[in-house]
Amino acid sequence: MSHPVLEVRDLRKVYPVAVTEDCPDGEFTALHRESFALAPGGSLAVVGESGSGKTTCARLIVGLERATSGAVLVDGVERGRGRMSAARRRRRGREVQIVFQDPYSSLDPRQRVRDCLAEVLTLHFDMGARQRDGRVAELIDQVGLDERQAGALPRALSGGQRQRVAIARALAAEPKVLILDEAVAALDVSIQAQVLNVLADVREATGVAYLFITHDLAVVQQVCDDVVVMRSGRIIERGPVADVLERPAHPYTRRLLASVPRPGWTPRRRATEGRPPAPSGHPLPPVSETKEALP
Amino acid sequence: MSVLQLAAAPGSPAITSRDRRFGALTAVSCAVVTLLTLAAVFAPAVAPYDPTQVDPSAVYQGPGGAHPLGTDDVGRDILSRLLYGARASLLGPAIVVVVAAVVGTLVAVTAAWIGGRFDAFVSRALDVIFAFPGLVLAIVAVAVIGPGLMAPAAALSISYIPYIARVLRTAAIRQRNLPYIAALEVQGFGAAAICARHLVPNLLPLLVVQATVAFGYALLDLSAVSFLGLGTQPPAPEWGLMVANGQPSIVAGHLEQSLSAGLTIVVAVVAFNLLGQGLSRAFLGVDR
Amino acid sequence: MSALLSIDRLRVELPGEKGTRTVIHDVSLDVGAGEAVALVGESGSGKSMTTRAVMRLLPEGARLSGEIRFDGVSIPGMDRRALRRWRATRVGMVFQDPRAHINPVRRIGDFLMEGVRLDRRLSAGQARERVSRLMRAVGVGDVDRRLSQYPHELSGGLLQRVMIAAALATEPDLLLADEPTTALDVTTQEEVVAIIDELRRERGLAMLFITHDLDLAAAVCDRIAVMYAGSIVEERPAGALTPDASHPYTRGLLAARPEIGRRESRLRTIEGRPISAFEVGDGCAFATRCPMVRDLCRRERPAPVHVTGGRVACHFAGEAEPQAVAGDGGAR
Ligand SMILES: Nc1ncnc2c1ncn2[C@@H]1O[C@H](COP(=O)(O)OP(=O)(O)OP(=O)(O)O)[C@@H](O)[C@H]1O
Ligand SMILES: Nc1ncnc2c1ncn2[C@@H]1O[C@H](COP(=O)(O)OP(=O)(O)O)[C@@H](O)[C@H]1O
Ligand code: SF4
Ligand SMILES: [Mg+2]
Ligand SMILES: [Mg+2]
Repeated sequence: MSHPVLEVRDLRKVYPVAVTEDCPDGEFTALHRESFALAPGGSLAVVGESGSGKTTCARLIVGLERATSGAVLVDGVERGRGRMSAARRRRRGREVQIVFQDPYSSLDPRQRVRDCLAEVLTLHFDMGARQRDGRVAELIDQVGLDERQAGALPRALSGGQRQRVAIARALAAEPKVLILDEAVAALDVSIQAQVLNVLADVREATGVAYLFITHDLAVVQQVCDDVVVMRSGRIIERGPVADVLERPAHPYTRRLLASVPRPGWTPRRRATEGRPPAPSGHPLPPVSETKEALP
Repeated sequence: MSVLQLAAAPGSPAITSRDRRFGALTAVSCAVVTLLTLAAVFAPAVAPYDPTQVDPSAVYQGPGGAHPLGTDDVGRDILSRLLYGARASLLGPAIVVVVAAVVGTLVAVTAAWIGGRFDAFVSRALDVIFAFPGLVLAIVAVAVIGPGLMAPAAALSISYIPYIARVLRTAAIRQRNLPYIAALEVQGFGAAAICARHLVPNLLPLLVVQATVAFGYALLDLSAVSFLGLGTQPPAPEWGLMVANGQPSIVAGHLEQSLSAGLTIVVAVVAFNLLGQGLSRAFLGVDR
Repeated sequence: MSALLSIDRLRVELPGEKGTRTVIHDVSLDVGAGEAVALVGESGSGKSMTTRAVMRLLPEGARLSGEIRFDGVSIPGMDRRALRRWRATRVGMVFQDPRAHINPVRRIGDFLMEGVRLDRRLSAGQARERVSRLMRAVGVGDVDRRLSQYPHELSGGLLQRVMIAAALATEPDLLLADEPTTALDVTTQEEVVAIIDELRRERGLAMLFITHDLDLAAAVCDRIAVMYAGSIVEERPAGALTPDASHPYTRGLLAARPEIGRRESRLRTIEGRPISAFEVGDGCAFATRCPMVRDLCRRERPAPVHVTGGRVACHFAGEAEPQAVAGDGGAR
């Protein structure tokens, strides 16, 4: 494998939480010293049930959250943390970009699509107005939107269209890595397919690498080369998508695979619950109830 | 989650299409506010008399004829005094609201952005200021600085900051946690740029609503200060002052001065309040 | 066979900014006793509105026409008392977001007891016993502790089980499940649908199951009705739909979903976006996105025609699609 474009080294994140009987030390480890790497132009899936630490990982990589320990490297260079100069902040922006799950709150409701993209271009690149307009048009075309939508406010756009705008905005910075955190989960089936195709086209055209976060294994296989499977803040299995989906080694991966509805599928109860509720005081849904059944 | 469920989130089409009538009451209150403002600006052009012109030959004239609202105890035209009075009576609340809005927004946005202990401290401080009655603060200010428009206006500006900042802070925290702000941070925009270009503009409707309602209350407070003789000083016309001035005449059966000034205050306060509520419905889709 | 629930030419109009908007257009659907029927469609197609019409939970100002009968009794014709009784005893409902439908400041036990004691003259002890049995039936262990907890202390999957227990508390004949698993991840989803499926079979419950996932619908239902823009475009036995979908929209949905073990360079998409019922003109609702659209489609709304085991509303139902559009084209 060539030199990885993104590398996560022993990344760990501990959240302070209210002290309860489940959490006597008042600490909750959302990510346990995990490492993985993403090849240039590659596409790595991070899968796992809700609460397994996928979003935490993404927020640490883009710098929205500060890691308890460990490092994030882009092109072999550790990413800056904490306060930094405007120039360094911008350079970081050109390394990794992110698209969030909820298309309805990912865009400034008062900003037209074109202005949103132009603002990002102005921040990162020194270009004239003509050149900038040309680039905006190019980005809009790249994600499959048209001129009319470019002049629209977000509220005039559907969920799928908004998500494309969010992708275009992220691509405007010409990042080396694009993180997609459940970016197609909120979309309708027919729209989801459109956006997945757009993502495939974009990767082919720009060579950007994807870190694709999802709990949907069917989608993984459509867009990713490699996969890491997460559970309770730990990576429990990793490998090329084809291998992992065909010969899952870990029982949890098998379980994840078995629960995807498909023709001829019948749902089965695998366990009764038993796990205590997650520490209160944090806003996210805790780990699902099925865990205790697994080794 | 399905897209329709998400569409019910604030700021999305589901809300936009909600009932946002600009009701008749709002239209009337908007007209009243506009008229009052015009009166203040064009008082010299529209007032029939000089508001301070004493006329011993026309003391206590009833409404009608040459003096539509009559004259006061020294023969000054009440209508002219009301029209000119709009200047001081509206300037005071305007100062209060502008200062409170600017400072309140800055405080609210800074607290929301930084969060943590700083935010907790700011919230506590706002609660403390809020607990202090504005009128008392105004009286203290007059005692220290001396009577006039400026001392009470300055004091009330401070006591109105929580009124703006508390509501804005809550809204700012909500905006702060939306993914679009996170996306801008990841792009590399600085905090000041994000707040000035995105966060604050999205708070503007709320700010306007809050400031409009505050304007009404500030007007009432400042009138009370003048009524006590601590605000604008005679013989300059001001509504609260006019209510006080007209008091001795009431026993003599001449209600015109106090009544007309008092009614003007009530109409103005109610108009600002209704306008604020109407704007709230129109901008935010909610009843305050 | 007379159906347990029979929806006949249901039409729902809601007040909008510019006059009324039709959100449900001419929906007819039967659910037999003990039968499970799925209502599948994309966001805004009117699935929830249909169930809300059945439950008489329509928003203020909604206009309903057509008939809905339960066991032969007209639901729109019920008076308040009859409606309340019917809701309390004959139907159970499970929603997509359990958290929004459970009072956050009441304990789980109180919430369930309320349901159990709603109608029957059970003693407190009997009621408590029944609640425990229900909780065990939906796979909740450690019942006593759970009953004393508050909703925010439970995960989404666990809370959805509580909702199912509550829906079953009065032993209804019909279960209305509106996307009960959409907010859950796949493993929890499997658990929850398995519970619903098992209990339904055990108790001979009829079910109207709403989802946007055709494969999920096929796994737990006997029949599937596919909705688009406020109308049912195809209704078939669950087994027949996947291999033999006749409506271009159903086929599009099936093809658009990535499938494990079938990687394609591009997914087949349905061009454009789903439209709402009130945006539909004279012709076929799907005409703006249909790869097979012809002039007739834009002029005339297709009436449902019978096909093996069901019905389809398409002028050219079952015809092969033109090859030119297959495989690609939708993305832009
Ligand atoms: N309270 C309301 N007022 C006006 N229109 C509404 C209201 N609720 C729903 N609608 C509209 O009715 C139509 C059908 O909505 P419905 O909730 O039945 O869709 P759905 O198929 O359940 O979608 P989802 O998968 O998102 O739950 C949509 O066009 C929607 O915008
Ligand atoms: N700010 C926070 N404080 C406390 N716990 C948190 C916080 N954010 C996330 N967590 C916890 O960390 C775990 C991982 O969360 P997350 O990364 O969001 O999961 P995922 O994206 O895989 O669904 C969860 O158990 C969640 O409750
Ligand atoms: S009627 Fe025409 S437009 Fe409608 S689904 Fe059939 S072929 Fe397509
Ligand atoms: Mg997440
Ligand atoms: Mg719905």
